[in-house]
Amino acid sequence: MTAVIEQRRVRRGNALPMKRKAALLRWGIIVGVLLLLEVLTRAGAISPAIFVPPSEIIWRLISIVPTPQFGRDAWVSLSTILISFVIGLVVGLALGVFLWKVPAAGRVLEPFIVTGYAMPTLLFYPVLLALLGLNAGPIILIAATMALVPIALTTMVALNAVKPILHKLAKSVNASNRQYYLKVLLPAATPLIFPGVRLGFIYAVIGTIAMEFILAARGIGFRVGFYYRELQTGNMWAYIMIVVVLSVIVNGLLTALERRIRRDML
Amino acid sequence: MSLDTKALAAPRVSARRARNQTVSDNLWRIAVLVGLFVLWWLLSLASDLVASPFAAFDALASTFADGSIYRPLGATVNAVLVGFAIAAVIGFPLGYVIGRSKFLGAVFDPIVAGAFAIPRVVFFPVLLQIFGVGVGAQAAMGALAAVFPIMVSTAAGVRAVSPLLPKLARSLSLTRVQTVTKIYVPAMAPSLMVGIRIGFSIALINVIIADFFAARAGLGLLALRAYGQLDLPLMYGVIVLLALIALAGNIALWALERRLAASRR
Amino acid sequence: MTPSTATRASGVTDVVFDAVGITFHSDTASTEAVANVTGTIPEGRFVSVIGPSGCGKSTLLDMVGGLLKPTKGSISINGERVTGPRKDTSMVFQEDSTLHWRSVLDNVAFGLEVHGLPKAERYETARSMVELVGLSGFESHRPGQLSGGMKQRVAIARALAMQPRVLLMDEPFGALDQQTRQFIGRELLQIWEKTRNRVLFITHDIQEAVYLSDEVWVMSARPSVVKEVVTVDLPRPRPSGTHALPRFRELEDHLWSLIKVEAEKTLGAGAQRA
Repeated sequence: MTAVIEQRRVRRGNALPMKRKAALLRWGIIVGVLLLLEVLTRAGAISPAIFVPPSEIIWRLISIVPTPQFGRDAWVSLSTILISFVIGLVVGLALGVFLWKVPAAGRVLEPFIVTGYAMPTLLFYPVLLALLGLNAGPIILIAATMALVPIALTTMVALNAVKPILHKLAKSVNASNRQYYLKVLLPAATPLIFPGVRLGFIYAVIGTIAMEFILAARGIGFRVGFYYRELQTGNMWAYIMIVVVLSVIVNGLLTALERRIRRDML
Repeated sequence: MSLDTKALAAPRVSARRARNQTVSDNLWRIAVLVGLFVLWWLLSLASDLVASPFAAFDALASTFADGSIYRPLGATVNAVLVGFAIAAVIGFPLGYVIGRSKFLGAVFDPIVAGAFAIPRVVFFPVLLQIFGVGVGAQAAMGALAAVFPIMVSTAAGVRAVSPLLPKLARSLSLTRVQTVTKIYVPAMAPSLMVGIRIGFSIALINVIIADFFAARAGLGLLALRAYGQLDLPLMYGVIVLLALIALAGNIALWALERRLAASRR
Repeated sequence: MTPSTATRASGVTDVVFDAVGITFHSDTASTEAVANVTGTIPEGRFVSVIGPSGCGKSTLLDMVGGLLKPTKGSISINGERVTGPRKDTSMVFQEDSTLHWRSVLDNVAFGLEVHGLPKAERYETARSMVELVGLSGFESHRPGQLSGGMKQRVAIARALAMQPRVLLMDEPFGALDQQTRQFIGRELLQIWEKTRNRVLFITHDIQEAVYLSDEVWVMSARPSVVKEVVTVDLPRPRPSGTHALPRFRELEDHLWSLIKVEAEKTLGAGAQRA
């Protein structure tokens, strides 16, 4: 029986060289593109109104980050993201559990939910603007709504996907409902729910930054629009890069966490 | 392993029950819509800032009557279709290639996943610079956003194809093109549909966002102008129209998706 | 013909079936799955139940485990009627029921944990069970790293850890390939020789039933009764050579002839309905 485990280890070992090669190529492409852009912008082939040399962007990044203004912007954006995510998470989980417990509700509401995924909750921005005014309210609400949809849907599907045999097992050892939910259902569903949570967080980021940009309120999203309007392309790109770096890091962390959860719990 | 008595009962009964269930489900859905309508109406009574549903529909109807809706409507629909088409032309082949090749997948997956997480909105000013105000910018923004879901679901669809199919293709000595069109595309059709549906929705959302600041004409712009002129009923009316477009497009694509899935069985 | 095993001296802790029957009601039909089962499982007895598909073998097992209530008659263990899941029964299922997020040791300790046993005690018991089923060294492994046979051993260890008066096994090896099945069958006997629980073992595999058990209950087609109780008088312990014994063959053939009749009834009824 040990042979089975040995086999699995060997298989994983052989995959590594390809991963490394792929990573090298990937970084090569990224660096190559950056170099190309550097050359093209310095040569004037790309108008400075559209793009500036990557080296300049990096330099500006370095000088912007330590400033108090950046600190304030970052704080506003990050706190908005977190608040909308938490709201989206709580409401999304609750909604997902409801849709699972009352299967009829899931069936009836499915077309609405499917569209809700698509429906620009953004559409209601003028409405929310009218109702809540020009503050963090509409932003949080829209970002939270964007976040809760994938969380609710994934939770419902995940809870339904838990093997019925586990419920039978719990009953056979005379587990109470509470013990079943906490010791069996929840851990069993978590690796399936987490991708939805990850997507929810990403949407919270996207929603927040997008709304900050559109509403020209505060925060990092706002700064991008601000520097665009001020025709300061360099600074604008610096802030765009900040958004890119933030999104990529968040996504990377959550993906790594998801992989860990899948490995340990699936 | 347990005795499933429901399965033992005459199978003819379940078809009838399924139909009854669909009818009752649809009745519930209508109830939900009515409920939302009523909620809206109550809100409009409670707040000055919320126009009544009747006023909104009235305002909307009058724009249809005097024809003033057609230019913005056309512009938005046009931008969505063009944007989606561009996204499809770029996204399907790229997604296919990434999905087919394990190596390329390993190279590009992290890039695509990372790019997916970036709010596309931040690139809109740049697109505005490149395309200037107008349909070009709107379509480009829609395309930029929609290309990712299309790529991701195409790649996933290719990967999900049973490994037996390429073997079948080889055994029949099909050319590359034939392999793609006769074997892969039909097998991937459901995944492609998912990508199309999501791509459509995201294109629509982003075109509307583009409307807010990069359009000469469009429904989003119309709504914003109505807000600026304090014509709240029209603003709400346009929002309802947008919602209906999103709903109609989505349901149509979703129904197509289900039909495709059913016909495979 | 419902031969009763009650002629044997029955202990108070035995599992006693008293005219057990169960009828399922759905919206459109009532089905009597089990009509009348009477019998006992005395101490240390390994009982297999075989029968045609759909005759209610699993249902019978679920009733002993307290997951279903008989609509007629009663089942008693240790003199008490079975009214729900109990601490003195434990089940092993055909489908993999290991908890993938827990280590092997935590899986084995699961039942004890639910019953509220303190940590130190339950881990001590779990460890000895892991050793008993031959998984020493795998305590920290996750089920995802184990083969199908190993996962079933975890399930068996978990069931045994609760020291049940009767071990209920619902085609536990049905999902395994044939080689693994034979191997693990031998292992099960080795484990059982040490613990000597009462066992109620459901299987489709006549060979498996003869090899493992002291007696085989042959169920009729639905509505089922115990058609015949076949005593397996092969000596214990049973090495792998047991399969070659002529008596083994006799018992196998006898059981097969009994089953064939009932299976044909079931298949015939199915053909009629279609």
